Amino acid sequence: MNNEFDELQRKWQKNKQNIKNNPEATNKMLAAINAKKKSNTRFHYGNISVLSIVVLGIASFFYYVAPVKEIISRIGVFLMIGSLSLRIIVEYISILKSKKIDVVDNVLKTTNNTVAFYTFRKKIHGPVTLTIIALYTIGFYMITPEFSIYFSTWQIILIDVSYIIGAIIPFITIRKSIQKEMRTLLEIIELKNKILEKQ
Amino acid sequence: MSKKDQQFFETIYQQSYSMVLQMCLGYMKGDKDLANDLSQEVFINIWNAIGNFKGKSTPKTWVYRITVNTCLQYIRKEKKKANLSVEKIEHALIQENHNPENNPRQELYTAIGKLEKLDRLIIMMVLEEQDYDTISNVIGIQPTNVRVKIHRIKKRLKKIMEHEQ
Repeated sequence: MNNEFDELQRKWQKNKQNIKNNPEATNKMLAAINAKKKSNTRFHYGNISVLSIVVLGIASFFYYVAPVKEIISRIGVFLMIGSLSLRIIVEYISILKSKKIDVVDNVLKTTNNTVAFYTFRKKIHGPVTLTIIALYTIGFYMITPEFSIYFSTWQIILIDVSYIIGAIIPFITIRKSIQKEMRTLLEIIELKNKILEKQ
Repeated sequence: MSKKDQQFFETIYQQSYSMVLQMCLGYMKGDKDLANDLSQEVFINIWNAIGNFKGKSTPKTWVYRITVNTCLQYIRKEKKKANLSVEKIEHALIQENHNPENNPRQELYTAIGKLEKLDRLIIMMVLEEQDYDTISNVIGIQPTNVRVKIHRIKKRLKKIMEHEQ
């Protein structure tokens, strides 16, 4: 077995020698690294940016376009904006937690930190997300009585029904991402077991 | 990033480029595009961590840790992005032309690629002539456990290569 492995090692070293690194390639790589760093930052903060724009949009709508007067409607607006703001905070905490996964640590520690991160994500996807969706929905339906003064009944029905239809799409998207993350969690636990397996 | 860190990064880059790319090629079963992409991720992580390098381990062990961790994290990202596109089909066709029979260099990567992910990375460190202590430092387990794992991986690799011949 040793002779065969020595042969493999020779092949490996030979292949490695064929990998050339010239100054032009170095510059190209450095440029690619910079481009990728920017794209990674955009990916991390993408959700927060989208949610912040939605919050600003809703706040501006109720401030400039349709300032509600009834207390119950104002509580509704507060619940809608509050639940989205809570989601932004949760996303931000999630980013901070993901930064704790340090690739400089040994593989076992990184794997443990990754398990901790996805376990936190699992908690977020459960009670936290459900509470946020519930608060947003309650808030939305608390505004409709005041809106019914300005809109006809069929328009209100249309708004209420479109909310349900509109909610189905993010619900399916969230569900898919939860399933993916839970598969990832299982995969990391498997990796951890593999690292720790002795015989 | 300070000038000193930038110089340190360039030195690490020059010294470890071929090792990193070679390990990425082995991990990605010889797929050059994916290996290049993965090696870029490795160097981004090195770039991001360079300011915190305290010298507790040698730069070589430090680079191995980042390389191995980045490889294991990368698969997760890839699965998230996975979908069937025209580029993917074209890519598959290119890969078809690069099969081991057409390219002997590919044979080695294909054999390593048939091992489990962690085993691929461990055996590549052995091929890189790293000792048990370094590998145990990278993985975070005892050297005796590393020795047992390496023995088992070598056996598996032998079986794979015999099966291919």
